[in-house]
Amino acid sequence: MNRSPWIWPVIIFISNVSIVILAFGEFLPPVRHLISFWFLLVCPGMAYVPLLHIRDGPVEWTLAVALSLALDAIVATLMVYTGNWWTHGGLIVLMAISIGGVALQIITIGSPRGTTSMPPVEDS
Amino acid sequence: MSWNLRHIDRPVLDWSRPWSWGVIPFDLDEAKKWFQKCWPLLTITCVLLLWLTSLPNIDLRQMNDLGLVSVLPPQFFAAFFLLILSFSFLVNQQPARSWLVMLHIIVLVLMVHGTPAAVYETLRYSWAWKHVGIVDYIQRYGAVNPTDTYFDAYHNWPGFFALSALITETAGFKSAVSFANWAPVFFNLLSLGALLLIMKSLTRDQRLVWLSVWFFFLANWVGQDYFSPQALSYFLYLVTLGVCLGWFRITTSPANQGTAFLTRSKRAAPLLGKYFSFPASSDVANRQSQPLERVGLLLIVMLLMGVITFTHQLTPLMTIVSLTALVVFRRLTPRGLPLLMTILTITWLSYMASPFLSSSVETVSETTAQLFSNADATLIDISLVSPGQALVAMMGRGLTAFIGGLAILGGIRRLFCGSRDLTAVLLVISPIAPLAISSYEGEMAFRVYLFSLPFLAFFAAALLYPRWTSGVSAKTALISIILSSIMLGGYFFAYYGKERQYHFTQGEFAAAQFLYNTAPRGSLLIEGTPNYPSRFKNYEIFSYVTISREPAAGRIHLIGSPVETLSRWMSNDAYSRTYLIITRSQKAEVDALGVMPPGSLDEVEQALKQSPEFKVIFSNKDASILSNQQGEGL
Repeated sequence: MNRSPWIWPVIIFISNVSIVILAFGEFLPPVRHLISFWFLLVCPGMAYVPLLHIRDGPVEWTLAVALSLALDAIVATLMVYTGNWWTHGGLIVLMAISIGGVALQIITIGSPRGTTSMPPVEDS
Repeated sequence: MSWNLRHIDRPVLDWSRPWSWGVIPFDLDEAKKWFQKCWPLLTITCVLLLWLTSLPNIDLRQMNDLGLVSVLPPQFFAAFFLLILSFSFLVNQQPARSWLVMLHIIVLVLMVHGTPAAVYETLRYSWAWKHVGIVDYIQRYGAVNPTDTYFDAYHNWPGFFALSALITETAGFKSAVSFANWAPVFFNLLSLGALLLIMKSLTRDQRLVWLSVWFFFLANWVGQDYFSPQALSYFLYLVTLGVCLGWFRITTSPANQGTAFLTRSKRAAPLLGKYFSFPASSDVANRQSQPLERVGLLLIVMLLMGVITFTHQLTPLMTIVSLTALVVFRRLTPRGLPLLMTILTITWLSYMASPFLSSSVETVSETTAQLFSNADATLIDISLVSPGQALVAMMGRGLTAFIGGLAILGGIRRLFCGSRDLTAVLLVISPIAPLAISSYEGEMAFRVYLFSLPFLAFFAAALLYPRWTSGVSAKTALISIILSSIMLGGYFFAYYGKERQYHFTQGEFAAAQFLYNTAPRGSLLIEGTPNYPSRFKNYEIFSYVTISREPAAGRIHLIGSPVETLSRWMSNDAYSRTYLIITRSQKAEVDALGVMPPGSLDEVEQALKQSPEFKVIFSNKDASILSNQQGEGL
């Protein structure tokens, strides 16, 4: 079953809006915990990984989380080394990165897709 | 609705079919089909119920020298055994029901690593507390201090800590303690995805893929999955390898390219081709992709390598040796990756981590080229530890030898079945190389094992499924049950065996919190051992003396006359105040590992409490904080 190409752009856009409301507004602690983890662990990576057209759910998620953690770590470490530790600033950068990926996804909707799935299983 | 029509013809009450007496007509064939489809889910439900009901029966106070395994109730073990049964039969079925098999592994990870997180009152393992302390430092200062006295390595490789500080503040937590307890579950679940990526590039036999991952989790006893930089960087390392193997692997023989120039020679080419193609793999093609997608994947790999560089000291080295081995043996198309990783690592060491390098160069040079002594430095002296801890240590070594032995047998069997797994062999062997460079403070052999383990697990699983046509009988499932049970038995001892000293009570946390919240800047904190919730808050404003790490002569003198020695230490005018903290977990470590005579910390504590020169400023059943009478107290 083919997934709609709009799913991740929409989810990431909603996640961005949610993180703005919850983290910048600093309220609703339990929901804020969940949305923050979701945003930081999934969104920056999932903004780009669908562009690779990997038709293997666990692999796609693993790559997305790895990329998210890498981007988060780069942004956080840059803030530490430049002496400009500002959590909201870091979030804004990560949101911009996510929106950039979403824009790329939207631009490529409708273009011919390659496949990165494994070839069918055969006996060796 | 055909189902309904079929049942209209049948009497509702069929005396020959007692099970059909109910309101709903019962069809045995339908039930069998339903059961065949749903038995794994039913089993998983039973497993989870057994596990959840076992948790309230775990009495941590009764834990003995064998750690958590000594207080686990029977239904806990029953849950695991049922899970092994279910997994072994499920994985043996073809076609594989991937999501159900994966669910079994997720449940395994949840039960193994979720048990301490669910049962313990506070964060497990003293090093995790120290890592929380670095996150706390970044939260307060928004910077790192590469010349830090106590944790210079962490301040020179701050990627994980900066990331954790960002997560802590974004989520609205005051401290990383709030979520760090679940880090082992989180990192192991992440590793599951990365391992799938790797295993699927080594074989297309789904049974072998899943059993390899299963064996990995049953043999990964070294405990590097807690809230730590190495847990993050290990995951990134696995993903890096997974992407390289999945998309950028050379699947033809190295000789096909190396001997291409000989194609004109009709005699030499087949001969050399036959000789060199012996180790070539494989039954798996690369994942198909468009050129732009490959560029994207390569960018991700480079990004991950960059993050590994500033997150952990050792993982870049492991990444370099693994990628180099693959490139040298022509298993990888992007030949520049090891070079890029080397440049990144040297640049980081030369510029960003130079304070650490200059202070550690002596230690590194002392241990360089000492392969065997570096390996030996990892192993504890069993003659010094308690009998329980000796058994725990032997179980760890036994489990390592067991998976190693299975891997050798599996490798041989796969070889005889016609598979040439050069890639996996290289990745088993290459992590040994750093052992020649450093002892890594006595931990290098554990790390070598950790980095080799995915591929050891692959070969161990290949013993059961060396090729597509083998391992289809129930006998294979039975062998899988036996091997998994043996490994899980060893794992329980090896992984849970030190939990008496690794877990901390609420009382210990309360004492540490009291001390770190209220001791004034410039205080000297004396501790029996560093094994308690320590340095998690404001750690840089204090000085520390650890009794167990004092020279042997000083330790013996202190144990012989604690009042006199500590009175002298604690009246040092260089510090604004001086405190001594002794906790249950410190005593447990002393008794278990033999760092001091058993019971010596108890004796010191009692002697000080009875002395008029000291006063108790905080005490509960698990911890005491004492100060000398000259001090004004808190």
